[in-house]
Amino acid sequence: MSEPILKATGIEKHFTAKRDFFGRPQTFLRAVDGVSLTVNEGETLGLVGESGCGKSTLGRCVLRLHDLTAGKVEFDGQDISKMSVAELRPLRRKMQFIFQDPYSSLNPRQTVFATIAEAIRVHGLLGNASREEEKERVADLLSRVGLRPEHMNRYPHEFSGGQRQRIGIARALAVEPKFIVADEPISALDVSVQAQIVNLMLDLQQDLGLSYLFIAHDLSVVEYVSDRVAVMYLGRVVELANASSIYDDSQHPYTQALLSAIPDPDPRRKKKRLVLQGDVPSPLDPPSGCTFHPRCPIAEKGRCDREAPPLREITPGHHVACHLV
Amino acid sequence: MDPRAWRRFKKNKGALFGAVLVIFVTLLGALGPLVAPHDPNEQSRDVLLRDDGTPLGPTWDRAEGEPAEGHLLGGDTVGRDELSRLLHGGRVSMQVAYFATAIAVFLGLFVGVSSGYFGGAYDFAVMRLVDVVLSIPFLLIAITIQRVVDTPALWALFVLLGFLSWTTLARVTRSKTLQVRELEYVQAARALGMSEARVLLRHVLPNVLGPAIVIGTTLVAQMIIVESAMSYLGLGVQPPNASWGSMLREGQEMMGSANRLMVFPAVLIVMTVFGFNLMGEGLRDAFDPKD
Repeated sequence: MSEPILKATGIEKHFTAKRDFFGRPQTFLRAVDGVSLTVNEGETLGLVGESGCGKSTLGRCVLRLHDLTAGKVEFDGQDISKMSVAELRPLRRKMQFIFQDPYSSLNPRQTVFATIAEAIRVHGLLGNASREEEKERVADLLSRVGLRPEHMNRYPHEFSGGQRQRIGIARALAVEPKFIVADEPISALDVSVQAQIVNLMLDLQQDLGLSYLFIAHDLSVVEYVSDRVAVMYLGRVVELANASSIYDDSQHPYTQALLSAIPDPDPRRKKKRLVLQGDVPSPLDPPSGCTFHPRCPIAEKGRCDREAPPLREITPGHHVACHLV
Repeated sequence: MDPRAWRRFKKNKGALFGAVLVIFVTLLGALGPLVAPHDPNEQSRDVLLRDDGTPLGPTWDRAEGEPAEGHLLGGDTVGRDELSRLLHGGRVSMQVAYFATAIAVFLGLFVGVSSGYFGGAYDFAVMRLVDVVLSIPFLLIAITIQRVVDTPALWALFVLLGFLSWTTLARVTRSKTLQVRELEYVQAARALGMSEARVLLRHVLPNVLGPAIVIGTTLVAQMIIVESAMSYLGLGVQPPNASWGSMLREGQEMMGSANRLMVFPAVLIVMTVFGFNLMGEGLRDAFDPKD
């Protein structure tokens, strides 16, 4: 855990929500509003937050599946934020994406073999390999993710959700990446299958030295997989720290509220539940100052609703964006 | 090509029946003129018209002593051999069905998929073009062309029909493309660094083809019918030459006294339309692995 493989600085992504009569953008949705983070080699950075807080958009931005509105992304020492599609192509090998919905992430008209072999061929990873060699490689990848080689001739609809997610992982691994963004890879799966996929991802990380940006809205899963955790609220990171500090020593009131919402399997234990008031404000019209202040239990009038708090390092490695800690 | 698609197609009885019909009418169009027993435009009034001027019926429906050996289906209102006219007319109808539809399907798919996929100003411009083409009155164009050119070539008809019929298909494939391009497997293809052309051809196009095939087969039917209206206006097949569409229209005038003149071409047109529809739906299902 030394060199950062991914370094994102001041990322902003705005979507046009409304255009005027002449097609000029009028209203913007600030999906990601100035986020900086790094992922070190071999590390898993967990990214949590409510639905709509911009975590998926951020994940797509760092892989340049979206163009950035502002900010800079360095991958493996190279600035990729301004690269053209053609310049990005060789780098795509090194960074891959695992999708949330295993049902729409596989082309229904391609067999498993066609899906995975296409990824290999696009990057010419096997040169002029024969079909037999390709099959061997695909079989290899399938067994790596816990599927059987004979599955390669089937179509996606013949598999369960968990199996499909494994195929998606095999497709990402086919190009031998170093860094993978996993966008809620388990939230569409049954609970029993969730653990299998998470453990598969951890095994792969160990064997292949992968780095993950692991996006989820479930803190308990993130705690299990992550080295560090970033908590997002309305397009901004409000707290960033080692996984253990987030869980044992969270500082931001939003993080504390999220943690108190984790269900406890022991019914006899009484827990204090911090229930937030109101809904997430619309990112079309975010609140002034600290965007969390309308729901914050400790917000101070005159300060929190005026000034946006910067992300400060309060103890080494522990960053919080709050005036009051 | 997936061998399983062919196996699924073979298992589908309706699709096979449709394919047989399509092959039958296609062969009629290709070989009909070669096997026609008589000149389709020659009027044999003394043989094929009765004394009162009504046409002779088919061999199984003739009065005692009525001759006309070799005229299997009898004659039409002016004493031309009905069978020969049907065999010759098939060629025009099948040409229209294939070529005009091919033009329309190609244009519609190209415009629909590209504008849905690339979006932006191009999409806007192209969709306004669709509105313009949809607003053009078919008849106006036909009459104008007929006025300007004395005897328009038959290919002009295919091109005209093709260029005026791609719009529905373009709209439907565009909206389907809009839906497919947001799916995660398309994003996965991009994340893997595939070229836009590859994403479009391998991941988007195959998944929007279903509705295009179905619309394409219904277009075949429309084309055959519209061709007959066009020939009435002087575009396309001119009298005395025959097409199934024009024979159907002429036959309507004899409804009640000689129904068969309407029924024969109508049956052939229905066979064509039905065949293409069944086959089209069969193809759509065969290429969908989920079926």
